[in-house]
Amino acid sequence: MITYKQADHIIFKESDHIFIFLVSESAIFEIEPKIEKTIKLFNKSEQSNKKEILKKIKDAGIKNYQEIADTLIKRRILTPLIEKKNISCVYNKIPLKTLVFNITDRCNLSCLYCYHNKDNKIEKTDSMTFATAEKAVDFLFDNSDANKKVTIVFFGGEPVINFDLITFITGYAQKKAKKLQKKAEFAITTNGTLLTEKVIDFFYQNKIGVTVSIDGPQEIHDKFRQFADGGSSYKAILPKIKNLINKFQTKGGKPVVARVTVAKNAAHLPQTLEHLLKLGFAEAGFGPVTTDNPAYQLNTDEMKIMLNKFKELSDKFLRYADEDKFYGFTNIIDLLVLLHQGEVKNYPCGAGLGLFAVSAEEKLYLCQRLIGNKAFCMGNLSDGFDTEAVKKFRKKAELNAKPECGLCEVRYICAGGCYHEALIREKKLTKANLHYCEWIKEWIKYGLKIYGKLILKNPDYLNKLSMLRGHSPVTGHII
Amino acid sequence: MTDKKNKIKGVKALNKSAKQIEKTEEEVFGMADEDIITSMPIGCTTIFDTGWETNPRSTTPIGNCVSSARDFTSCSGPCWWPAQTPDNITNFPDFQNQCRAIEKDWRNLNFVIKK
Ligand code: SF4
Ligand code: SF4
Repeated sequence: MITYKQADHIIFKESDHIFIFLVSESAIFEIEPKIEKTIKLFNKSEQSNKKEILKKIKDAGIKNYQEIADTLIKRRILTPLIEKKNISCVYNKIPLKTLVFNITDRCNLSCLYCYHNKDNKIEKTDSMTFATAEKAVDFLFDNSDANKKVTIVFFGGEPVINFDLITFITGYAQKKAKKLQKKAEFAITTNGTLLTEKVIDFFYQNKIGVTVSIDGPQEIHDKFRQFADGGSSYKAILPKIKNLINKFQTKGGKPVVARVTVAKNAAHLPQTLEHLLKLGFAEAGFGPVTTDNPAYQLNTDEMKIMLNKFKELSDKFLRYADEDKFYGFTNIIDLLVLLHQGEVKNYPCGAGLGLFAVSAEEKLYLCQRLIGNKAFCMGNLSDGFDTEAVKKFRKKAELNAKPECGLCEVRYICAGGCYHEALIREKKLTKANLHYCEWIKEWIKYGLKIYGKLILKNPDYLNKLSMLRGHSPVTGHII
Repeated sequence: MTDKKNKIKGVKALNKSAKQIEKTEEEVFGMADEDIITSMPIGCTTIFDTGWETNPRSTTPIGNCVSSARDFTSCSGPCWWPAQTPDNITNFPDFQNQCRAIEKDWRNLNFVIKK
């Protein structure tokens, strides 16, 4: 007879409604009080067979005990115990989906907190040549297998410094895509300083998705984002990004989004988001700076402030959503979509799976942030992937290989977090980011709360958000 | 198959994953011994969508048919269907890990070897 145990779960309540989130399924159900009561009869460590389950529910005086036991099993709230054997999956080659081009290491700004700054031991190299770029585009298509759509990301340094290369790559990739009957998409992250009329037009015409790194109003932005002589970069970018947004909005280009690096203090988040949305950015996303330098790092108190500000902004987002309006706070949007899609993640991100980055010296790395770090080189354009290195990485990076995450309630959403962050803060790429566990857990739980509220007030809004992120809406049954 | 048919009193599926469980359950319990439950549906394809080989579709499941997509996860255990997968009940519970959305990622599925 099969033995069952209570599935790891989080129960949360919103205005008299009870919800359950099943950790290893990423499934969210609304449940009635009698179901909650029944769940509580079991504890985490308990194992029971069907007979014992029935008896327990019956003894608690719950009516329809048979039906309820079936429900709990069918909905996997009680799950069969499966002894995990030592297995090794021989992973198929994962088709390449995204290749990040390190257009140049050079940058015309000298942001104090940048991981490319002089204190880091990252080798700086010359800009990528046309020949390398061509080879890299070929490599991306050759390894994309059945993927119909590939994405090229222009990254740096400041990629626009090497604008000629960007135009070359775009043209070449488009031609190649056409020939192969595939689609090439493009995205760029820029500091905004070099957005001339010509550049903006080019981005528009080629449907390039633009992310601008901007940290907020002038006094906040200029604190860390400066020219080498300490001059204000805010003043330099303001007219340019206004022009960019304006052009894209009037002509119907892709939404322009902002990426905010939160360094040292986080109290300004609401003010910053307000400022960026007023400038016309469709959305802004916030990420704490990745550094081990205490001069820029967010300390524990500041992390707490950031969490509170995230909650405040999520509440505001919800007020908009209730009325079917949109408030561009990227972090909550991404989290809600993740929850709605019920994604079960065994890896924190696509790095080293469908995503790699290529450097000017034709080397392949796990992702853009790890470029130049020899230990994480995964092959090169001439010889292809170093399959042993990739395999080793995938094995070590998998959630199963992180025992410290084994009991965590949000493990299938976080999966240990960013490798680059782990490398800097935990000194090991494949270690879990234990320094921000509490933060992540609370943030995800808040996301669940917002999810519950939204489901009650405007459930279809979650489908709209999913579609905004390129998913199909969640209606009725899948498949 | 309607939404209603799968509804169990007291528990309502909200997100995609939950709806998938709701959908799965019907076949699991329709075809299997009541004690068996897996993380994936078991049992063979319930519909055979002929003609898919010559008519790849652009929607999910991308490039193959509904029934064949189901086969990748359905055919474990004592099943005759040729697209049989490794036994994901006891020995290879992680077999489909590289497929977050089977209807899109089924190409990532491979064989497994036991060490
Ligand atoms: S890093 Fe922390 S929050 Fe993330 S999965 Fe591991 S234990 Fe959970
Ligand atoms: S390792 Fe970190 S920086 Fe690199 S792709 Fe993953 S989340 Fe992003």
